[in-house]
Amino acid sequence: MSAGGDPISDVLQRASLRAAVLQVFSVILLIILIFLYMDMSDRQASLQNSIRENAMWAAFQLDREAHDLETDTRLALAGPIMEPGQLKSLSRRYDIVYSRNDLLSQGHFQGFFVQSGDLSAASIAINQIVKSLDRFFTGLETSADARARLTTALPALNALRDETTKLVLTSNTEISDNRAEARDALIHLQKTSGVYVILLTLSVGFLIFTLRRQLKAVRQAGLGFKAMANDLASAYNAADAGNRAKSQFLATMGHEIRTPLNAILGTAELLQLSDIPDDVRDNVQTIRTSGEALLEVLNEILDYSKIEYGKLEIEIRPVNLTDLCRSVMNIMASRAKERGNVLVLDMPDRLQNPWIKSDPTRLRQIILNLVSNATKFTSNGTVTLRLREFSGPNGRHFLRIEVQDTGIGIDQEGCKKLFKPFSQVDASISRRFGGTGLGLTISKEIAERLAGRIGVESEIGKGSTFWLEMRVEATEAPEIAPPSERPTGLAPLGQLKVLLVEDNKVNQQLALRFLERLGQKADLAANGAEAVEAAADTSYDLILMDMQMPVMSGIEAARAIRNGHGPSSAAPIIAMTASASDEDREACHEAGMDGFEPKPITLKRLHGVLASVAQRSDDAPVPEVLPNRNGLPQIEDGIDPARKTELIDVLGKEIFEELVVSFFTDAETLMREYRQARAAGNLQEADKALHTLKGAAANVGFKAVAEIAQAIRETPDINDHTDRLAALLASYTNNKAA
Amino acid sequence: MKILVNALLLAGAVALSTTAAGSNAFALDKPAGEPVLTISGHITQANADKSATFDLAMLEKLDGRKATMETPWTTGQTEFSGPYLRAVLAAAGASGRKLIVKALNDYASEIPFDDAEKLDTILAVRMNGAEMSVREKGPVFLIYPFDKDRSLYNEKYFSRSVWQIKEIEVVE
Repeated sequence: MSAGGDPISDVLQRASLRAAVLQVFSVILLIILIFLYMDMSDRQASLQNSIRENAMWAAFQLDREAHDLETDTRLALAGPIMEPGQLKSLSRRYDIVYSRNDLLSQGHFQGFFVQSGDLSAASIAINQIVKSLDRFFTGLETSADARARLTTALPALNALRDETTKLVLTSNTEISDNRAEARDALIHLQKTSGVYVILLTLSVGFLIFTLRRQLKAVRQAGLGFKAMANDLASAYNAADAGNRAKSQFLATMGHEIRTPLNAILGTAELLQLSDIPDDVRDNVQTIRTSGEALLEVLNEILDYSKIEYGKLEIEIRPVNLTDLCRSVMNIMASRAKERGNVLVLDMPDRLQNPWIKSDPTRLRQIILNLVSNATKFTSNGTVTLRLREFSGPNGRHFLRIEVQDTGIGIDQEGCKKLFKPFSQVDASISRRFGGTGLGLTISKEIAERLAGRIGVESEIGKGSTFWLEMRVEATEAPEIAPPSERPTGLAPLGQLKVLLVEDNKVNQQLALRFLERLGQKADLAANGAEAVEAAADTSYDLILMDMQMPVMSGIEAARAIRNGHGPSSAAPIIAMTASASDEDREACHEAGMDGFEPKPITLKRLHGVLASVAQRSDDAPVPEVLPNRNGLPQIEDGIDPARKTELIDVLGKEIFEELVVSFFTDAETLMREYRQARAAGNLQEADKALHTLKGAAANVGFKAVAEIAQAIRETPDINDHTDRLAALLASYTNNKAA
Repeated sequence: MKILVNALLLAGAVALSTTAAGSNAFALDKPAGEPVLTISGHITQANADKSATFDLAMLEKLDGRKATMETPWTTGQTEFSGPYLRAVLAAAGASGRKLIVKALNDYASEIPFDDAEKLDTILAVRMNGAEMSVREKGPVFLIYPFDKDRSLYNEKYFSRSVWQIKEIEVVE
């Protein structure tokens, strides 16, 4: 199809040239024709013809009058007497002849009768004779010798007759000649114009033909272009489809790989908790570290595929910059330490705009990536996270975040490649340090989506400074932020040894993540018995205790720990429960617990608990941690938005979604257990299942589910609640699926 | 003052004569001089044997005009004067569709009555102020208004321009 382009343009060019020539030719022909027509109409307009005809007529009339005059004269002479009337009539006849003769030398005819020798001679002779006859006819009727006059005039009359006859004949010949000539001229003219008309017709015909060809070529070219456009579009679609398929494949594979990987990591973690020889523990640690590295790689690939697929979602919310930077510092602290790096946070004490509108998850991802890279490529050095605010014109605010390291540095060439996908500065780097090389690409993409720019300044051997500049919009602190012991921000906490006692998987994960976010490392006990065991072995700064657990409940476990003589027998124990009645609280106190936290636990309250424990070690009074009972708004997907925000903030969106999915799985099981227990009449088991469900629901943010579960527990006889609960769960599940 | 009265009297006389010519009550006067034109055929104002005859004076009394023009039969600009053809026909009480204009030499030409009504055709009796003899295409020459309308200047009207007229026959 592309081959059609050249011939078409050739045809077009040739056709336009030909058309131009033909147009000029046609115009010339048209002008000639106009002149010919004007010439013709000039000839037509002239009175030549009519003059000739009239001259002929005049000659003929004269001849006739001359004959009549002669005949009448003869008749008069032949008669015996000449009547005066007869003579008068003869005189008038002569007058008429006279006037006719005059006409020949007058008006238009004059020219005709002198044009040729013969005509001229005849008309002169006639004129002479007519004039000579005057003396015979003037006063004829009154003259006495009329007969003698007429007799004398007779020969002249004869001559006149002959001359006029000759004039008629000569005129006729002359006119015939003239007419023939005129006709020839006209025919010639007609022929000439005919030739021109034919030429013009041909020219116009060719012009039309050429124009048709030209139009055809244009149409063909148009069709060609259309086909080309179609081909291009389908090629583009094919390419796009391929790319989409690739991204889709990556996303799918990523998820597929991540699920078993999570299982591997979980198992490894469990394995570490179990009683195993130290060398095996090291190996398990290796499995975990490698697994985590693999998970990081996977996450990067997933992010990248999302970017390619155009599905990278940005969710703009109020972000607290101080919190953000501190959480990054917390997360990276241990890794920096491993490589002997000092991690420095350099930001103003008071920010002009502590809250900005941005996507906290993504912003943290960028900063984490930069700090993580800096840590990776620096050993025994300093990594500085620097944050500065700028005010531009028109009240615009800008934010510059720098991550400066004293690492190996990057040369100019390397800097250029840095932000391109799958590229690392050189192969040796990737061998030495690993990584997908996608982190910066993703960061750049996110930065651009957040209306920012990302860049680097670096010098080999001296270190690099990666910077992120973005225009920010200041905002107020969100109102729905839960009230906490500390007004804003979470102060960094010292490292505490925490034991988490929790049976439900979802809750375990959640609590562990929260603790991790707060920079804490926690041990996990799946029930009361395990907790008592752990407390007997290890000295914990804090024990977080779930209330209802299989094997041994929280109350029993607390009592056992307090009564025991292990290193943790005096450790503060905080109860975590979904049931927040005064009775429960009383039971907790009796069992020797120090505090009471209603589920779902929030990051801030957890922070408060940890902070209070840290303070208590300085003999400060223990603040009564009050249950937070303010009504939180409810939204369509059933998840409380404030809770959702917090969970996504801490866990990331994907983990949160996984959490929701696993909640639904759990809920299904619990509902089944509850129904079975109820059918079997085992009210205690049924209540336990409901309790767990309530706790898990509250944890994830399904407030309505938690409330209904609680309602069933309070009035177990009303069957209606159970149906409502099931229906609600089903509707949320559908929502999720949709 | 005197001139004005005369003019008024003259105007009244013309008005009277026009009225007289248009009615049956007053027949056309007999020509005092030598008759130069005869209107025959479908007429009501006969003054001779079923026809109306005019002498030069009678013709010159009728409403007419002077016109200067070129014709195929004269050399240069020529002035013609004489009564309108329609005035002459009215004087004769003529009505009809066509006129047969006959010349002294028996040349005849048929012209539509409308040429008299719609065109300012005159029966010229003077050329350049002088009476026309037979030798000078007199005594009466039918002149079309070539000066007013150039489109008349063609063979059709040339052949209708009869000279040496002696009689006009009015045909129904």
